[in-house]
Parts: sequence; C-alpha cells; structure tokens
Amino acid sequence: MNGFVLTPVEYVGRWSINRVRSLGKAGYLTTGALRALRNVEIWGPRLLTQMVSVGVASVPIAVFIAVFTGIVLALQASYTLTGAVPMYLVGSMVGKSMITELGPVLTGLALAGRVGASTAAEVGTMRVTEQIDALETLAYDPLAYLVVPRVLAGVLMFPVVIVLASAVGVLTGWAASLTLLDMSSAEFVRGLRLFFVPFDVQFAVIKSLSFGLIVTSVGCFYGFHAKGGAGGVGVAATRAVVVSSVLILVLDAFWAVVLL
Amino acid sequence: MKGRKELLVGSVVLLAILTAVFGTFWLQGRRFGSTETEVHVLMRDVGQLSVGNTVTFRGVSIGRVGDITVEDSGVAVRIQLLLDGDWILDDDAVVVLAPASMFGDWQAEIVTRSRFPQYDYSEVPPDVELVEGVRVLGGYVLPDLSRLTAVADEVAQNVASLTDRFDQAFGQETADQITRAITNMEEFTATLRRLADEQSVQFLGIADDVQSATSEIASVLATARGSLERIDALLASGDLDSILVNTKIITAELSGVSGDISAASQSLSGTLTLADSTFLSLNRITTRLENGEGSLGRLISDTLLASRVERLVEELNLLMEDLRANPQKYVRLSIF
Amino acid sequence: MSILLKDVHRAFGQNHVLRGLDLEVLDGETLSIIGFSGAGKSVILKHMVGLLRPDSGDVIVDGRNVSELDVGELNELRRDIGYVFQFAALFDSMNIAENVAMGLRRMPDMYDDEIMARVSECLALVDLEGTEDRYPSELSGGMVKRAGLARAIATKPKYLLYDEPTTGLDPVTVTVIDRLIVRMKEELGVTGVVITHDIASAYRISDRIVMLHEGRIRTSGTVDVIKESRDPLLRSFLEGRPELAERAS
Repeated sequence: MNGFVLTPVEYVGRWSINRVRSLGKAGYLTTGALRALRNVEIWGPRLLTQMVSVGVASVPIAVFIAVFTGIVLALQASYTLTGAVPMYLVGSMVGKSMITELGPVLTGLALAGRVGASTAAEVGTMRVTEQIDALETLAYDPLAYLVVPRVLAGVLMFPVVIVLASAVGVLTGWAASLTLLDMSSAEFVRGLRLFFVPFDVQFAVIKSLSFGLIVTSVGCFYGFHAKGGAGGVGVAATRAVVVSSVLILVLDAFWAVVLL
Repeated sequence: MKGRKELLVGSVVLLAILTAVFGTFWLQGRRFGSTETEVHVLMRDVGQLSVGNTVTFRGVSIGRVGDITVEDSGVAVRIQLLLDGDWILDDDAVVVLAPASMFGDWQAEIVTRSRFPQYDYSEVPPDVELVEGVRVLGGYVLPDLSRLTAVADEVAQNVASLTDRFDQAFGQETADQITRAITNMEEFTATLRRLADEQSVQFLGIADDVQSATSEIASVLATARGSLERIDALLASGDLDSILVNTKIITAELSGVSGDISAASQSLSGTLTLADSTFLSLNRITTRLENGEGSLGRLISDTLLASRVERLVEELNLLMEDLRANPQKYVRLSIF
Repeated sequence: MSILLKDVHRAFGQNHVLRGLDLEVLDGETLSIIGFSGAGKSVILKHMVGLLRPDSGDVIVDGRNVSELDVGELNELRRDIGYVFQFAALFDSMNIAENVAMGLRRMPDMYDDEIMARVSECLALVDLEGTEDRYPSELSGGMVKRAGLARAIATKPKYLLYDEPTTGLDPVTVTVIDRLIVRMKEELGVTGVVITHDIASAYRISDRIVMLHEGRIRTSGTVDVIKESRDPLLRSFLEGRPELAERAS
C-alpha cells in the first residue's frame, strides 16, 4: 500500500474483509450468547428489568403510533373503496393490514429506534467506560449479563407490545369508521371478521418474535463493538437503528415469502 | 420496587395474551361460555370453503367451520362444523356450500333436502367412521362463478354449432327457392296484367264465363294468400326447421297459382280485395325481410333478390294503380 | 504465589505492543509499572486478569496459566484478583452498594445479609460509609475511584491490579488513594500491581518499580534503585524532560 490512496481493488478487498470480519464477530457473539444461556443465575435477575425497559416502556410509543395508524387506515381504506365496493371492506382492510403488516412492522420500526438505539448506547457506553471489562473481572460473563437478558426480553416483549399495538390500531380504526365514515359497528365488524383467520395472529407473533430478536441482537452487537468515547457510542447507536430497521423490512419480506 | 416491576411486566404480558387469545376467538365469531354442537359433513370436494367460514341456518350465522380434512380413503372430505349452542337438525338436513359474497369468502348453509331437491347431494356412505354423538350430513357445492362461466362457455359453444348447422341448412338452396317463389309472383302479376289487357279487348266475348272465372280466381288468390300467410307465420314463429320443407310446398303452390290464373282467364269480381290482402301479406313479408327479422336476414344481403323484390312490389303497385285507374277494365266484368 | 509473565507478545493489528515481555510480581509486594502513554501498561494488567490473551508466551497467575483456563477456572481465578479501573468503571445503573456487591453475588454460599455486611466493611475501608444508596454519577471523581477500589477488594482478593488509580485527582485525594493502596498491602496482605504516571505516588506506594518501554521491561528495581538510575530514558520520564529521551534514542 503506498500512502493513503487505495486502489479500487484494494478498496473492495478491504471492504470484503471487513464484512467477513463483522460476520465473524456476529457469529462469535451469537454462539457466545447461546452458550451464556446456561448462566441463568446471571441473566435471570436482569431479565425482568429488561422486560420493563424493552417491553413495558415501549407500550406508550407503540400505542401512540397504532392509534394514528388505525385512523389513517380506516380513512385511507374508505377513500380507496369509495364507489362500487361495499364499505364493510374498510373493516377487512383495517383488520388485515393492521394485524398482519402495519402493526408488526411499524411497531417494529419504532422499537428499532427506541430499543435498538438505547441497547446499543447502553452496551456501547459500558464498553467504552470499561464496564464490560469490569463485569468480566468480577466473574460475570458479559454476554450472559448484558446480551442474553436484552435479547430474551426483546423476543418475549416485542410480540406483547405488537399485539397490544395492533389491537389498539384496530380499535381506533373502528372508532374512526364509526365517527368519521358513518359506518355502523355491525358493518365494520362484519368486514373485520370476513377474511380473518387465526393464522394472521400467529403470523404477526412469529414476525414480532423475529423483530425482537433482530433489534436487540443488532443493538447489542454494535454496542459490544463500540470503540472510542461518546462518538463511538453514537456511531454504534446510529448503526444499530439503521441496520435493525433494514433487517426488519428484509425479515418482513422473508416471512411473507416463507409463511404466506 | 422489584415487586412493582413484576406486577407491571406481568399485567402487560397478561393483557397482551388475553388480547391475542380473546381477540382471535372474537374475530372468528366464537362465543364463550355456551355449548357447542359438532356436525360433520362428508363431500367429494368443498369448493373454496376454508376453516373459520361461517355456518348459516335460514340465513342466520350460527357457527363456523372448525376443520377440513381429507378422509383417509382419499375420496371424500370431512368438514367439521361447530354450531353455537344446542342444535338438533332435521332428519333430511344437508349442507350447501356456496360463496357468501362476491369477494371470495364462502359459507356452509344448513338446509333441508326438500328445499333444494334439484341438487345432487353427496350421500354419506354407510361404512363411514362415526364419532360418538356427531351427525354426519351430506352436502352439495354450488358451482362458483368460474364454474358458471365454464358452463356458460359450453352453452355458447352448443349454440354456435347449432347456428352453424342452421346456416348450412338455410343455405343457397333455401334462398334459391324463395327467389324462385318471388319470380313466380312476378310471372303471376305479369300474367294478371296481360289478362287485364286482353280482357279489355275481348271482354264482350267472355261474359258468360265471368261468374265461374271470378270465383275461380278468388279461390286461387285465397290459396296464394294462404301460402303467403304461412310464410309470414313461419317467419314470425321462427320455426326455421320446417321452413325448408314448407318453402318448397309454398313455391309449388305459387307456381300453381300463376298457372291457374292464366287458365282462369276471365273476369275478376272481388279480386280487388283479395289481391289487396295478398299484396298486404307480401308487403309484410318484404318488410320483415328488409328489417332482417328472423334468420332470413341474410337474404337481405342478396342484392339481386332485393331488387327483384323491389321490382315485384313496383309491378304490384302498377297493377293496383291500373286496377284503380281503370276499374271498369276489370270490374265491369263482374257487373255484367 | 505470584504473577509471572514470560516472553509475552501481543499485537493489535499492526501495532505490536508487547514484544517478549518478562515480568515477575513477587508475593506480597506492590509493583508499580511506569512508562510512556501507549506503551501497553494497561495491556499488561488485562493479560493478568485474562481480559486479553497473549499471542505467544505465558501469563501465569497464582500458578495457573491464564490462557489455558476455561471459563469456570478463569472466573475462579478472577475472584482472587481485584481490578481497579482507570475510571473506576462503576456500573452506572446501580447504586454504590450494588456495585460493590457485584463480585460477592458471584460467590457461592453468600447470603444477602453477609453480602451487605461485607459491602459496608469495604466501603468503610475506603472511607465511603453512607454512600451505599448513592449512584456513581452523584459522586466526585475521588469517591468514584475509592468506590471502584471497594468493589475490587470486596471478594478479598490476593492480587489487586490498579490502572492509574490517581490520574486526574487533586493532590490530597491522590495521597488518600496512595494511603489506601498501602493499607491494602499492610492490612490485607495483598499483592499489588499499579500502573501510574505519577512518580511521586509510585515512590510512596511501591516496593519495586519497573519501566515499560517498547514492549519490554527497560528497567526494574526498588524505589531507591530507580531513584539512582542513570538510564537517560528513565531519567527523562522521572524528571519530565523529553530531551533526555531523545538523546537516549
């Protein structure tokens, strides 16, 4: 290498090496975290706290988003349907899209911002202030202490938050149909039930589980490998949000292909 | 502090689980705390019925489709219907599967066999595996829209082949025959005029025969009119199969008429009215032909034929004018 | 029992930090490691506690080769080692009592009341009584350092590793910390390894001082020996005169 200028070939080479290296790190982290699952005595007590901060604390923002999504969906559906199609299909559209798609994905994205960033920032701060090293010297496996409870909380609580958000979205869609669209409750419910299959709920829960896994894992990954000081933490948080948002959309498409 | 956290997480998780479970049940239209009646249906296929579709009875939703499985034998499908509450169904109860709306959702309706006797319900084979206390019904799948389309296609094809066959039958030959009939009419009118001219020259000599000739011509014209009326009726009824046969008879009759006319050379008392009505019949036919009514419409496209018909009408007009202008030429005969 | 590093090499990418380091810490002594910034002093400490593993060479602590230990054995060893981090690395989500108790909670057969008693004891040892319920962010720099020390000694370790314990503190607090380090040795019989840039402090607390330069021990000796040393590099460091170091190289 002469000087600072990289030839394109070198650039590609370095890029590839870095990608493979991150994959390796991710794999290492994953296997480590799986191994750390044994240390229940370390992550067990932490799980509850994480369930609160990942799950319970996320309910308000998720519900907030769902309220408006539900209303917009109802109005949008009625706008689209105006004409030859019966209005009760507004119920179908609100229910179907809220339960299977918008509930999980919008909530997932919001939580990718909230949970992904805070996870990366927390873990990243602990990394750059040597708290992770301190954990190790105190005979704690940092993966068991930091990563496992967060990821588990994500996997457990994302479905919880998303189920609540979807329900709220459907309810506000219903309310909007009654108040803004002059539909009757019976009409809305008829449309709601028309195409509902229990699999919709399973589908949403499966998606939510994977979103929870992805958001918390990605947050932990970037936090764990944060470098430098506050700047490094910021970079980690930003990357965590971007990458987990992208992965949520990719996963969404993946599940649609695999399960539908 | 910790206890509060546990309470918080616990209540949120429980709320979500309850929402998911009860929401699912509610959206499925399941009711709580009431008994359920299970009924099975055995059919050859189920159309587009799917699990969760509603079960209706006299138009009221009373349950839902619980499960759909193919029997081990592979020749039948077993549908499990879950009815809310206790139900004792009629002995001849059967199930009709049909689309519930135009949007692809189906329903299973419980009806009695006597209500739609025309349907070919599946029979429950006697060796079918029975579950304790569960009725097994026969059923019928209403063809869905795509199947109806297929049937309509078939019908249309049949019609098309029929039309083809008719086209072949109502071919050149028929047209020729009708043309010939009309030519005969021309000859007939020509003869009529020639007769009239001759009459005016030699009417004195034939006074004796007037009475008999008149009646003879009248009867001939009556025959002719009958023939024309038959063509008219045929065209109106559209009974095209018999046209072929009848046209032959009519043309034969018409050619006979012209012969008779020339033979019955004498006076024409009362001919005016008869000729008039014959002419009317003829006129009606030509109108119909011109309008393309019936399947004879294709004749219209034959310009040669059309011009002949026109000429015929003209000549008939001439004849009528002549009759009116010089009634004495014809009528005098009858006066004597 | 002691700490022994034999021909330790460790590189971070292109940066070859330790280049065949040999170092022995004798039982019961307090050893100070001095050296220019970036010389790899912290790296040495991290090797001793198994946070880093050598590329080659052996790190033997308490007769156990650190790089060959499995997780369980390493955790057992770590109970015998207290690590005082440069910025204390207290867990900022926990109060001081919980921080100090962290190591204790990993001890088998320790009940809550025992743990709390030990926590108070440790906090008393570093003169931080009554701060149990405070959070790290509410404490001054010196208090945080002492709390970090309290956490490190909670499990009654045989070895204490101090990573720049006095950096960034006012002279009075530096003296307080120095006295604590001496007290640890005298009252608890702890073997100590101290990384420091503070020469005065090193003179006060150390039995021996070694200087790390270019990945190896450049000079080692008792405080008196170091004070008398004629090595220009060491002198430049001790006297804060860069020109001596330039002459030496």
